[in-house]
Amino acid sequence: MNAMDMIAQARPASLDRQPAPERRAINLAAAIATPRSEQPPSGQLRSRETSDRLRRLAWPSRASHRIALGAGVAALVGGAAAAITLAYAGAPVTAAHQSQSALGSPAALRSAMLTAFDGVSGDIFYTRGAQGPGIPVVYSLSYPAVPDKGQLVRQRQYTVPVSDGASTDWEQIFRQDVNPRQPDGSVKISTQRMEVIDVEYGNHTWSKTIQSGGTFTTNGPAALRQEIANGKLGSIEKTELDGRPVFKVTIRDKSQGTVTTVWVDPTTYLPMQTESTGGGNHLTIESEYLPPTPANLAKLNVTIPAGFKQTPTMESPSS
Amino acid sequence: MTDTDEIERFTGLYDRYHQRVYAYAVGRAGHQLADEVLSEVFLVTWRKLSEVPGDPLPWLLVVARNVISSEFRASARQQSLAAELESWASGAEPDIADEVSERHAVLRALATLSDADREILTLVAWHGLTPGEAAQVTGCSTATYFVRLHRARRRFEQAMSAEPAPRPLAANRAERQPQ
Repeated sequence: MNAMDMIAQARPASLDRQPAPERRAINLAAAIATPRSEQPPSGQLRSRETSDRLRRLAWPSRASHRIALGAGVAALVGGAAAAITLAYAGAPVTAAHQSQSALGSPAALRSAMLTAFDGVSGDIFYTRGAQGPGIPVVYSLSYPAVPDKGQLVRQRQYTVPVSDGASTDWEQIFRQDVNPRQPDGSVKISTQRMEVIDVEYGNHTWSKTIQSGGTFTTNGPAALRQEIANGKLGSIEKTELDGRPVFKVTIRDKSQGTVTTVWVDPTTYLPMQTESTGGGNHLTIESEYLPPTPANLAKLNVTIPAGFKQTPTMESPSS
Repeated sequence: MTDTDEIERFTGLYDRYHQRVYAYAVGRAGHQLADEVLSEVFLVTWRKLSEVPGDPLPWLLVVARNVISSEFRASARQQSLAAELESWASGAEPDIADEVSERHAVLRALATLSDADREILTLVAWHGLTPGEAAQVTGCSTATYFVRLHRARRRFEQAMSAEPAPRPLAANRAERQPQ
């Protein structure tokens, strides 16, 4: 056997190791987020710049889709029931292969978005958002994004105050006991009983309790999907969001008196950002769909800081 | 080409070639830096998408090569590469089979070569490039590449001859018998 054959046969398996699956989304997003006209700085500067961008993208989601959902924000910031803000969303792979030429009309975009919306219901739905300056920023994760009847649901919500107040972090686990998809497009979450772990940073306490459940009708991205399905899309504008090319489309809901602007990722056809105004509210939420990898699922776990005292019931600082 | 066409082309390039760029990066800079190299390569690819040729692999590996040499401190790269070479040299159990022992010896011999020799040898043998493509990646003519390949092969063979011969499988097993 000659030397080259020997070397070929000795190819280490480590070369065939795949990069972590989430790297694809991170790398693509980091690159596409870079303006084309920007000249790459040289040497370490470029490396640092990229690293910073990757870090931003990597935490907290390391996901491919950044979605800000205007509708349903009140629910998100309003408490436990509100945190159950779920979404329909679609398989990006399928949607990404739709013909670009088909996107010249709102109808074609609507079709592409609905396809995209209907595929990632099994992912982790992650949002971060606030109603405006001075309002606490709420981060939430829910898995699966749209639970089937009988499925175990895990949710976590972390609230960061802007000035006064203290952070709270809670996790709840329950079993979905109804078919969640309602005829009007909304998602209904219902359970009789849930386990709640609550961490209160204001008084350094935490608790693990069993609480009665209830029924929640969410309206976030599910409502957005419904609006899209009902054909209320305005004209499509090609623009940029954070340096990324996007489609921007406005949805007017006369019955609700709301105007929702959606920035759509042209490769996945999922919303990247949504802002909603109406009824005196202005709402912006960013969200992502995370694949349910072990690392992403671990983000659903509340962390109890060392030294925090366990209490038999939830004891928020204000109580 | 519209923005979306460009994104689709870029995504296609990534999906088709990222594994090969990653493998090249592992071989040249080690696993510790390979992810960063991959990110940088495709950042450059996005910025220079119009320059990417129809057969993009050599172009992508040239970018990877430049990224590795310019974006990382030499000490960081050497450290990462040393860890990678160490894993090659120690990764295989030498007593499983003769062919594994030989593979182990080849990897150890490669680890003793210079970066340049190892690159010349592995571009074709491991990364599936033609000599012409390998010449393109290393920035020389095909004729020069063949000369360098010949020299690298000779040094590899010398390194192999310096390797201790693999011990017979039976002997290794016998040594492991309880006394």
